[in-house]
Amino acid sequence: MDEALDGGTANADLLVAAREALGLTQAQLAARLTELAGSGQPVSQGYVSRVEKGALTVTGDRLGLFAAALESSPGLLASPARLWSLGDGCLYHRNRASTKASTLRRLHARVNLLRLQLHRLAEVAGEPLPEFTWEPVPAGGAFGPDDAARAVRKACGADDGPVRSVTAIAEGMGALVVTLPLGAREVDATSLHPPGEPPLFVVNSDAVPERQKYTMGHELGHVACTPGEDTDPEEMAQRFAAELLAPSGQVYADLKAAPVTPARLLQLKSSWLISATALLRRAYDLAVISESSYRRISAQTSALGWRTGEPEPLPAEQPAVVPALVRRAIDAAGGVEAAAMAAGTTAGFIRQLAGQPEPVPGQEEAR
Amino acid sequence: MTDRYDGSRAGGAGPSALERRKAALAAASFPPRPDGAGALLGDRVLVYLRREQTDAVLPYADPARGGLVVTGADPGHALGPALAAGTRLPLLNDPVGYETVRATVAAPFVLPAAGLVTVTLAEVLDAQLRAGAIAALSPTGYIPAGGTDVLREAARQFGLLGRADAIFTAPLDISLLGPSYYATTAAILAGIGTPVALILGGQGDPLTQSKHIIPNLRDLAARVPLIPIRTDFNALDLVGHGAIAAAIGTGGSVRHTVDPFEKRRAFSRDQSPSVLWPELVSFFKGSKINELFGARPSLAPRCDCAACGGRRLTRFLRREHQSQAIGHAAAVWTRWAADLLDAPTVRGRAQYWRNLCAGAVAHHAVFLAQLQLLEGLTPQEPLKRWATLPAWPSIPAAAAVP
Repeated sequence: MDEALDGGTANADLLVAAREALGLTQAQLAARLTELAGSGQPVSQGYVSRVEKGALTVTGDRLGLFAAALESSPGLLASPARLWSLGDGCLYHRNRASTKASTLRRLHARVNLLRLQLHRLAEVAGEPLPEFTWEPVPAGGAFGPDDAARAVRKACGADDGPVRSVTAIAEGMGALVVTLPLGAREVDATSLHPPGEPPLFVVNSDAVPERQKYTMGHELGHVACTPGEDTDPEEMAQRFAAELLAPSGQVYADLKAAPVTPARLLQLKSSWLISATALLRRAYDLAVISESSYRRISAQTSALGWRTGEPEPLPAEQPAVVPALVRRAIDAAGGVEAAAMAAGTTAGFIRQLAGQPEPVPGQEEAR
Repeated sequence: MTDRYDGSRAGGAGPSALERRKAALAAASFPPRPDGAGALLGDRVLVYLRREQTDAVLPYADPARGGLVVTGADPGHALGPALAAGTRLPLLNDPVGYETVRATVAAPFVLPAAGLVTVTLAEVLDAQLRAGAIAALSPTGYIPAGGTDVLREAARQFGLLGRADAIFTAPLDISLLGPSYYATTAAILAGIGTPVALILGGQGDPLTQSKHIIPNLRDLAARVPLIPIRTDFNALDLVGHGAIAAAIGTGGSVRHTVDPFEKRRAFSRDQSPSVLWPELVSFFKGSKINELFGARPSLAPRCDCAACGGRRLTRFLRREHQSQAIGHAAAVWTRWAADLLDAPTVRGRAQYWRNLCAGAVAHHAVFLAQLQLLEGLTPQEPLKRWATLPAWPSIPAAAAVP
């Protein structure tokens, strides 16, 4: 599998992505390389910079050194893979306004690498990645993202009532869903959907389950519909998620059945399986409450501390497709370590993707 | 991305086609109107009323600038009193099916059954014209909250008729004009091609649902051959922003509608009629005006409209005074409508209306000072918005008409 040891040359873009995915600066990577080389000859930041610009090539042992420092494999780092960025129209993220640019760069690097790793794991498992056949619904003009949400519900046979798992809907459509800890609350999720491939959603498992669920709906909106000329893609995704999780024709009657209060929102949360905050917003969007009422109740829920955690939390959604794929790859490769080497990542990360707990120290499988 | 809930839309650098269109509209003498029903009704502000109110209104409606929209499922019955009086006013009949039936994708129109046979949409329209209506209003059911799919299907079926003598009635839940749904709603209505009779649906005053409603309505008036009906002075605001005509309701229940699945929430059990207080450009219960001036009857405002002839506004106290109150209101706002329509440009119409509202807002303080009160007379929210929002949005220089 390790073709780089047989003469591969590092892909400079992948070196950058692998470094950014770990949150390392060029100087920190240089220090790691120096330590791993152990030759007393220090590796400079300038050297790393020139390598990443493609001014210097990296092959052979030096590539192996980079792979070790970047917790990857020579095979992955030498692959001719293309990386995708925001301007390409297939990469999205959902984050707070205060999110730092460096955090987003790291996030984009991680999702790009994860895509490549999943491709390699599928190859090891000897099976293709799922096929995503959904034809995106144009959302613009007289057709809105609500129509796309209704179409998705219909296609999934989920015409009525609450959505138990958006993850299951997305996976049923052929998407790949991974939950990973992405840090406290800066980023909710990112999605990558290169042409001809299944979309990959990475959801922040550090967020509360209610937010994870809405985020999944939002990210699904980015691939279930395409924005028209005058349509803001993020507003489109928000409206898609709102209609998918609580269809106007159904939730309206519940919202009107009693005055909207924090206590009433909790009642509805238990039946609609979405956050009280999302239900409050739905009440405003559907004109069940006025803008001033919306602000007043928002202030009440905020004072109750619901911004950081609502009462009666929902269970977290669990992806099934990627963990199953990774487990099959582990079996086919002959173990976690072998699967990790083939995928170009660490054994710990492979276990995380497989949904398997960390092994007890001393009982790790032999390499 | 960041969560954006403010309803703002993505925008480009230069003036858009819509901005250029608005610039041209603001400078025009009157809004462009489609042939047929649009041409017949253009530049008119009609009275929207129930059949039994016809006699109260007829003396004060302006044949040159006004007309009547009379409610009733039977057009011959609804228009009967006006025709019997030999009126020269243009007449319309609103079959008001939306008062009792929600539209669905499967059945967007409220079509009466004649025995075992259901009357077609075209036949309902024809019946209105035969009864004497100058144009026909579609019998659309109530378009429910978030029901863009229902609205689109209603518009599609209506469009298939291809009738220039008909107007598409859009009784919209106010959510469809809010930040989440407005863009889709506007696109659907703009695609119909015929005039759209807009009715706002919601409890209380739908205009107060959110700060987005009035700007969105103005935007709609510039995009669509709009005729806001069954409304309040929103009618004049929209005629100042491109609506081709409008119809103002005679009372609170005919200035908006409510979802037929909901019970209408009445503001009070007060039986006194809704009275237009001209200086304040607002409607008040007759009892409220009387209460304010109870201790100082000599200060009670007088009205010199054709209906009042200088009498005081404190005289509308009981249910039987309703006809007088309706006549008074129609007589007063008919003059405003004529002045507004006489403005040389559409922008001038908006400026006239804004000035009128700004004066009314200021006049609240005048009355409070006269009555030596600190409170008890607060300008209504829509009035304040009409008085303070720019008469027309600022238009980029490149889009402005020379």
